[in-house]
Parts: sequence; structure tokens; C-alpha cells
Amino acid sequence: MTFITRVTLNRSRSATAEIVSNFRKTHHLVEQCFSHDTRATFDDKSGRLLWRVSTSSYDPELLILSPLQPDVNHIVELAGRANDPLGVTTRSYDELIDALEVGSKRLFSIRANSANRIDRNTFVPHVTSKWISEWFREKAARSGFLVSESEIEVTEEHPVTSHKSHKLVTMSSSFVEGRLEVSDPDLLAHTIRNGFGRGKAYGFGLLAIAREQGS
Amino acid sequence: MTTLLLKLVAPIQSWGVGDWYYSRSTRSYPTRSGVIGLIHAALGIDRDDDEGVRLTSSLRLGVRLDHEGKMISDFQTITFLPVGATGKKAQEPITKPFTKHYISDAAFLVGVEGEHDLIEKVRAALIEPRYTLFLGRKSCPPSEPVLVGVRHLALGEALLTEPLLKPERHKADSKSVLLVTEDGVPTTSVRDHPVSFSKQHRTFDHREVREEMVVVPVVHPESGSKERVWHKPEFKKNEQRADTEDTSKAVIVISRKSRFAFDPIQEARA
Repeated sequence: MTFITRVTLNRSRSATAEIVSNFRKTHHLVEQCFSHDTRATFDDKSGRLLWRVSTSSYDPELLILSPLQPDVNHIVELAGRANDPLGVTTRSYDELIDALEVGSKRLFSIRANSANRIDRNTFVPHVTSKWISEWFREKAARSGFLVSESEIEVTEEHPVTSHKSHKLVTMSSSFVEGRLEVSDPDLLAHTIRNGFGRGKAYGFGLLAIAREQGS
Repeated sequence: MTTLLLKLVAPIQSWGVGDWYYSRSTRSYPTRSGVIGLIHAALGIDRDDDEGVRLTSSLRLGVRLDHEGKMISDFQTITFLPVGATGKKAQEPITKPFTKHYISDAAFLVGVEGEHDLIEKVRAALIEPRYTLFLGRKSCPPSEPVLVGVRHLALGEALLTEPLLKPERHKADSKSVLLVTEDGVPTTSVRDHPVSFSKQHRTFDHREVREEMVVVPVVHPESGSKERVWHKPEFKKNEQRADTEDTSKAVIVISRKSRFAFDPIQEARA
């Protein structure tokens, strides 16, 4: 089973600022939604733990995609609101994924770390929406869906940084939105459950989909 | 004649004329030596390359003070071990005071007129500069891409017809700004014409410039775009779009409302 959870964070808590800006901290918090043993049972058939932070609304939101229902109480205690009925929403994502057929059209959104591999350990990030769209569409075709040039928008593109023992790690973060057409439903299901692109542990790769309103 | 237009915009920039001891001053507008230095950095011409200086000496420069900014000064002290005349490091550190002067929040439009081939080379170099570009001092990086574009006009015409930089900072339709140009009848002379940038024999000559007030058009873009841009936190309205075709205008976008926006959990079953 695949679940999607949205945790609405409380803007006036100091931990919220940390969650939004420090991806390593958020990685640890999200991992702690499951016990170590449970996480070890995740495989590419069940799917993996994926998350992303969105600051598009007044209260930042933490979105988590996981093979089991996550326990987000520790996150709510730190950065959420106690007793907030709509603060945490968990829903099943399976019906959405299983309803995909060849030719289905869906809206998608993803925070991606777009980069190219130069040699074994070197990756160069993409800057400018032109290269990001190109990378995304090309990789999409290999992941079970098609995106046309006119139906993709890169609405955010900036670096995110985090410190790891006195070294600064920078990743390029792009928010890509648009419309997709399913070309291989099983492959796309695998992509959604296992993530798209690099940085899946750090808030990238969660491909969210939805039917268009009014269809 | 072809004119290349550059914009020098940064939170701080400093265009010094000479002193580099305990008070680093700045003139109120970019120096020829500073701008030529920036062009050399883009082209990859080293400091000691006096031949390179001859190459760019044929360029004619004009500077328009679109937003003159404010002079600020930064008091610092530096504690160091002085090196004696024999080259030996002293035992005791000494502390010296430093005052550094900058122009803050300024925006200058610079026109560079020259032969078509050379201008084309400079334009290409500004898109992919060989060395890091900075505005006067290494501590003053530009906050926007320096290149504006090439105009097939003479220097004077290009600087008079180009709309005001950062039009969101000026509500009216035109603005009266200072133009300092090598065109026309000169009114004063300044000593910032670089003859050599080398450390051993750094030399500058005088050049004659004309300072005059001119009126330039201000073009306000259509309002309504809801884009937040990384390096301009003080603006609530947003003007620059990330232009996907022209990489010389690449800006880092923080967020923009997309026509495909949706709530990611709206479809999922409870």
C-alpha cells in the first residue's frame, strides 16, 4: 500500500524554519516516522520513503509518500499544531496509481534535483528552465510517461544547502509542474513509488499526480 | 559603430582611483580602468598582459548613472604579522584600521563602443567569462548578469535611447540622470585610463570626459506577474521573468504560480 501524508507546519515555530531550510534535518525527521527495522523492509516493490517541503502556502507543508502509514507525531510536536484536525492528513495513493492506463492524462508536480552525470562521481546541476525541462522530459520518457514541451513549467529553481561537518553541500532544487500522458502504467507506478531523479532521501523525487478538476 | 551595453548592479560596488593603503575610496561612478578590467576578466586577459591593454584601449566608454546609490563606508581593522624589509615575518602582530568605501544599491548602464569584431568577442566573453567578474573590487560581485546586449548605434545614441535600468525603482515615465561619456565636448578629466595593470608598473593616464544630465525614458513592465526572485528581496512586485531562451538573462527563481498547480493530496482516497 502506498500512502501520502501532508503535515501542515506551524510557521511561528522555530523548528519549522529548520525543516524548510535544512534538508538533512528533515531527512532525519522523516526517517524517524518508521522504525529502523520497518524501513529495512522497504524494497522497490513496496516503494520507498519520499518527501518534499512546499512553501507555496502561508503555512509550509511537508508531504510524505511511504509504503506504510507514517507516525508523524514527533514532527507535529516540534513544528506543527497540537489538536489540529486538518494538520495531518493521510490518504491512500494506491487507487490513484492503479487507475493509470496508457493514454491517461494527469497533472504532475515534483521537486527534482536535476543534474547530469559527468563521470563516476561528478554531477553538474542544471541552471535555467530550458535545461531542466529538457532533462525532465527525457528522463520521463524512460520512466513511463510523456510530457510535451508546451505543458511543462519550472516554477522554482534555486540551490539548497546543508552543512555536513564543516562542509557545505549544495543541491540544485527545481519545482517542475505540468501535464503528463501515461505511456507505461507499470513503469510509471514504479517511478511514483520509488522516486524520480536524484536526492530522494533529501526531499527530491516525489512525483505527485492528480486528475484535472472538471474531468 | 556597434555599442555593447552592460549593467553594473550590485548591493555594493567600489570603483577606486589609486589609493590602496588604509582608506579605500570610491568614485561615484565606474572607472574606465574598472570596466576595462571587467572586460579583461571576461576575455581572460591577465594582469601582466600589456598587449591586451592595447587591444581594449580603442574602446570608447560612456556611463549612465541610472540609480546613483548611496555612499557607505565600512570601518575594519586588520591584525597581521608585518613582514620586515628583509622579508622576515615579525614576531608581534600589529593592528591597523581600514576604511573601505562603497556605493550601495546603485545601478549603472555602461556603453562600450568599438569595432564590431571586438564587441562581438566581448559580448560572448561576458556570457561565459574566463575569470570571475566583479564590480571594482573582488568583494563586489554583480547581482545580475552584466550583459544587456548589443546595439547597432553610436555610443551617445545608445545611452540616450536605452530605457532606465530597474524601472520599478522610478515611478515616472522619464528620469534625469548623469551621463559621463567620452563622446562630445569634454568638461573634465579623470585619471583612470589604464595603461598597465601589472603589479610592478601599474600605470594610469588621464582621459577627458563629458559630464551632463540627460533625460532617459522609463519603461514599466505590465503588472500582475507573481514571481519571487532570489536576489531582490526588497521588492514586493516582481518584474524579471526567467527567460528560457536567453541564458544571459538567467535569474534564480524562487517561486511562480503555475497554471498546472494542484493540491497533491486532493485526489487520494481517505
